[in-house]
Amino acid sequence: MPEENLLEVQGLTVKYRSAVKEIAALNNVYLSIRPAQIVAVVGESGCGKSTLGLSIIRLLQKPPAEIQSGQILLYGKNLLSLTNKEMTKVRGTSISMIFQEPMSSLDPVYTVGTQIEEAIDVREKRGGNKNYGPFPRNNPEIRKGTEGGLKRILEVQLPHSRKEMKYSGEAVDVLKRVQIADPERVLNKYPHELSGGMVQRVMVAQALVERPSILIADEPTSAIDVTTQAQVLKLMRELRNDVSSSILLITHDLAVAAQVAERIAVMYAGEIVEYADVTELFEHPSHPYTEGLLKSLPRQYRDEGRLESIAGDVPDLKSPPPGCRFHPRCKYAFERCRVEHPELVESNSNSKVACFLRYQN
Amino acid sequence: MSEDILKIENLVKFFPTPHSFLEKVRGIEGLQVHAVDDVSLTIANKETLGLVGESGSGKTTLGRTILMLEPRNSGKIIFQGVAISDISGEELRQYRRKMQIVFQDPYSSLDPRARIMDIIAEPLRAFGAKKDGIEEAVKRVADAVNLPADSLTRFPHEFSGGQRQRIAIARAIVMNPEFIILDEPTSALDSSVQAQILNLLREIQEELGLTYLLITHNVGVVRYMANRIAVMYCGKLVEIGSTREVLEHPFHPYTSALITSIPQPDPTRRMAEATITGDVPSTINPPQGCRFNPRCRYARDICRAEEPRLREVSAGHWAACHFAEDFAAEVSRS
Repeated sequence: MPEENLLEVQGLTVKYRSAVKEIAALNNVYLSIRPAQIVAVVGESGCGKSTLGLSIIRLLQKPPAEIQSGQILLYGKNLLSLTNKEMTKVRGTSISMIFQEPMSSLDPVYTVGTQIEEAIDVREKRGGNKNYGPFPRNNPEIRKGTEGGLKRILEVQLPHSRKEMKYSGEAVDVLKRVQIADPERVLNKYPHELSGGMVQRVMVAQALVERPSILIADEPTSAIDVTTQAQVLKLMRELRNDVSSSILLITHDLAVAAQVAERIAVMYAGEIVEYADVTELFEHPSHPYTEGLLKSLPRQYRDEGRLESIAGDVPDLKSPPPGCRFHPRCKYAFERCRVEHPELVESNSNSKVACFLRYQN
Repeated sequence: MSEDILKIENLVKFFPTPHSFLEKVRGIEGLQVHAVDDVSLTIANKETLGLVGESGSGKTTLGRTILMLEPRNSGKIIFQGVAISDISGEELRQYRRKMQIVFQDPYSSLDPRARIMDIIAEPLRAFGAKKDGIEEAVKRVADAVNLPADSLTRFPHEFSGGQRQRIAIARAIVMNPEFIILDEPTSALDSSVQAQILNLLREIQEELGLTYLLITHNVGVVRYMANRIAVMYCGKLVEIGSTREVLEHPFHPYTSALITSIPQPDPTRRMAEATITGDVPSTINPPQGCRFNPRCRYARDICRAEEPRLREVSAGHWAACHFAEDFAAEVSRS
């Protein structure tokens, strides 16, 4: 592709290892993301999609995880060769991540305001994009949210006399942006005082403040309700449009992917089996697994015929099937699929697929 | 409908919130979570009623209260013409065998230390079935849910989520029940497996003539499964009617907002705007008047003052909105 890629994952292989077993979580994964592009990684539980996200931001727990081969290039620089200190600088400025469980991703002992201020501080200190974006910092003098020590402890113990802190205009603005009514009040609240949807919006607000080049969002809407999900998905699109962040959206929900993504990578048993533009993928799925997934989504009424399903279960990655990993469940499987492993190859100029059916000869 | 298997009248279930000792001593009244607040509905024989709503809307509590797994505050539950809410002891026990439940999480609803055979046989033993009859019955239902023949002597951890849900379904049908509550039966499953389980549930229903109450937040699933849909919001039933009617011509603004916020698996039909803002209100101190009024774009003075009753707006299609007709007319115009 002629255009510059922001992030390139090349031949990434990750294993989880324990004394008794070895699980091939990712097997030779290639993925590229362009600037300001929203890419969704779709797959069922255990297919390695979260491992992929954690590998990119280098938060995999090692051991048991082990990166066996591959490169992760951000602006052409291999993240896997950075020292921990250098990587810390990348996190929060170039790469940010939103996790599935909103309630466990904010620190319970600090107010929302303190944590948003921290994101602002991190951006300024690490020399992130200072004069960029729609939030001027007005009057940092009035910001007292990060004061700690005994005073804070006393305030926590005396909730009725809790002192209202003033937070910077940027913190207030960003909460308004994520449609939180009454941001001054919310900034002074602790995470447990907010609903799941609100906390997830605070997480998006942090990402907005950090203005990362790429945001990894791991199942950002699975723990929240549909009416709130619609709001969060809209925010993700705005984040891309306003701050031109790229987004890597990790989800099990094809409908969520269809709503926000431009390109979709379908993962199965640790491998990317198809990577294509979203409309192409939904209209002409090339891989039998993608086709099966799309057909198994209930869209018809009770009296409109039966739903097709994919037979069998997701394979155990301790001993993945030989040949194509999908062949035991594939209704088109033939001899070659059982012995030979299909590589991800270009099926047309814009999409890739790992299936012998689509190979030219 | 003459053949109603289940009838619920003005069912109320409040949960007390945690109450400190000091407050009790000082005689301060505890607050109540209005989980199910004055809900009435009927379920016809052999139909599937889909109960949809967001988390905290009271749909699971309603299911559990119907099965008398939770004591109710007031109201009546009439099963096959008998007010089971007024009986107890052995008499009630005989009705329990006709009503079963399949839970959401197949990882926690099966005893990890029991073999599959014992898990499925447990309800039979509880009702004192004969030993040789048990084995036969277990094999029969295991076969009905397509469990592999060798699975009966194995333990739950050896099975995937989809297979575990099959085991839970086998346990529910082994007593030959007439009514099964399915509480989010596929939300813990992957989408490729979800379709298998949904198809299985429909096959079993036809074969055994079962009635289902399907509790779910997934509108795709209810559309495929249900004859009728009931929508809950904040402990109240806001709309009930045939699946097609409710999904295509909703009378309640909440139902409409709920339907439009569901992402479609179709990139050419993206949601234009979030149609609903704000969060689900607290059920401890629900809003005055219509519970949806703080989030409703059409709310007027009367919505803030007076609670709308559930009324039949068109044949068989009920909604609890003061302006149901106006709303439906406006939606069809736009």
